[in-house]
Amino acid sequence: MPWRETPQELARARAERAFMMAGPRGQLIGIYTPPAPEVVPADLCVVMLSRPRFEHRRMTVQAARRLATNGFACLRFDQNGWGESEGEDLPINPEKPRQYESLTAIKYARENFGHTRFVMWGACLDGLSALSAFDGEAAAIEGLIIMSSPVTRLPSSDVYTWHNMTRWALDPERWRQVLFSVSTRKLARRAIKIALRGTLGRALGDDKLAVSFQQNFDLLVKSRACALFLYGTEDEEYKTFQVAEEHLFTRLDAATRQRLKIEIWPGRVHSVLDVERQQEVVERAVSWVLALRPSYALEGAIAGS
Amino acid sequence: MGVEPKPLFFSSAGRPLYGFYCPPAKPRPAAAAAVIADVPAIVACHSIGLEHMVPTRMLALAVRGAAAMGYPAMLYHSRGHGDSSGDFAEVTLEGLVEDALNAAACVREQSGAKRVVFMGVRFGTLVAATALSRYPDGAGLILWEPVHRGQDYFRQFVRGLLFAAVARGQKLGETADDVLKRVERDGRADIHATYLHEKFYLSSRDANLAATIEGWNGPTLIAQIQPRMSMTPDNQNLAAALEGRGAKVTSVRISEEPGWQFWRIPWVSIPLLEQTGAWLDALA
Repeated sequence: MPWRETPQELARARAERAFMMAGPRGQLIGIYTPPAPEVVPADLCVVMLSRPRFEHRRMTVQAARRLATNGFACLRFDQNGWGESEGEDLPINPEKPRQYESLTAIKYARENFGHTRFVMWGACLDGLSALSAFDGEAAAIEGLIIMSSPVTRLPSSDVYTWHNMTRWALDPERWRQVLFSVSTRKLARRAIKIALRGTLGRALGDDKLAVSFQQNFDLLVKSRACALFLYGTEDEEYKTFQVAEEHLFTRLDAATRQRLKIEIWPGRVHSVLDVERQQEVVERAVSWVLALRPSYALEGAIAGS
Repeated sequence: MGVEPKPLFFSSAGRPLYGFYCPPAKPRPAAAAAVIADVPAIVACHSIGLEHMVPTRMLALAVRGAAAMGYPAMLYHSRGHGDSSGDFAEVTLEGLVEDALNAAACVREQSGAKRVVFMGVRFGTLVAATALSRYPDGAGLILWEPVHRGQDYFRQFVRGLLFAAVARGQKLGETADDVLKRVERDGRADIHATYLHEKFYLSSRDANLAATIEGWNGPTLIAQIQPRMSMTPDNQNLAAALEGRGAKVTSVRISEEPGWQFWRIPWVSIPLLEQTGAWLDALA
């Protein structure tokens, strides 16, 4: 079902504050959703990383207002080169998460809204940016939610596949676009690069975990934070995560393993096209964050859930 | 002197809407010795659903660019869109126009400007044009890849998405018209990555750009954003009709394919920003 705004969520929308925070690569424009004053505060600020900040079909907006009705603060912002924020959209990949933006957001929430404990939230490559905040802020992070992030060095894409590229190459309309459109030529170069790197890399056996991911994962393990890794069996990104399952998760002790939860759903999690599934992902992510609240188990009713 | 934006919320129909207001960074040369209030403000109207997302960076850059040139400028998120409140399922053309007019009131209040240039992209051009038609102090109209008829827009929109689904190997067995009938029958249809809702469809399918602005004869920019060598007949006819009424029309072709209904890295077109900037520069 499509999201229907509840009166409680509308109240949180009315309380939202738009802000600008200075980042090393220019000003970032964001929205802060304060926790509902009528519920016991969770004392946690959820930092949501998405591009753009309201995401496809406003999933982060919905999640932020739902969480805020339950006592969580939420902070979302446009990354450099996105939406209204300044700067360039620099390449992001598993080796280059946008750590500086994650750290900037935490610092801003601490200095301007008084938060001391955080939950990091991100899907796809933004999940890796969320994880990268452990390098510098591990002690302040209570939770991490990663949804279908690629974690190996090789680019993975279920769009820029040879099957799709062949299909596009046989389509005269595509050639017309390539001929007349700068942005299409740019996209075509990117698609070829990703497909080539992926294919050649796998042929050479270079499907190792990204160094950045391993380092930040180690910091997660050493921290006290809980984490949820959510993937779909049909996600291209899940193939990369299986390398992490095999090499990183198997060596964890039982207590840590209990803290770092993996959920693998049938079908796809990483799909903007499946509206119902995306709604399920939001529901799951919100319920997982709600459970981080210390008093969660003792409370009978959770507003809006 | 750089642009110092002011993100804010304003009210429309009793609900908070998000706005990104950029005050003018400098006086306009022509207005320097006159009254600042003579410089019109720019209000940027986005498209709907996923089409809100694709050009969102471009609208932000256009608004910043206008402010850098000395125009107060604002983009906003309509009800049910982006960071604003409201249900997407309840969106109607009338509601979108109400939001555009309230955005115009907001930017006037913020800047002191008396007149407004309405700017729109894709479906936002219908919103901008309708708002302009009801606005007594319209100073200009900017149409980025205008939508001329609501029904054509929906059919093209659904057809493109169906084509994309077939290309991914999905067998749908439905035509665009079948999907639109389903919207009327069931109240909505999942059209890959978003829903098309009955209220919006029924409120917008009869919209007609040329008829909406039949009383307008002010300065107009028509920017066609398609990978083709000439202006479409619809754009040519619109320009001719406006010029026939004495309007000063600038038509530009931007040979690009932003992929309106698909997620990708932010679409940025420097030629379009430059052409829009040049048009604004000549305005006041």
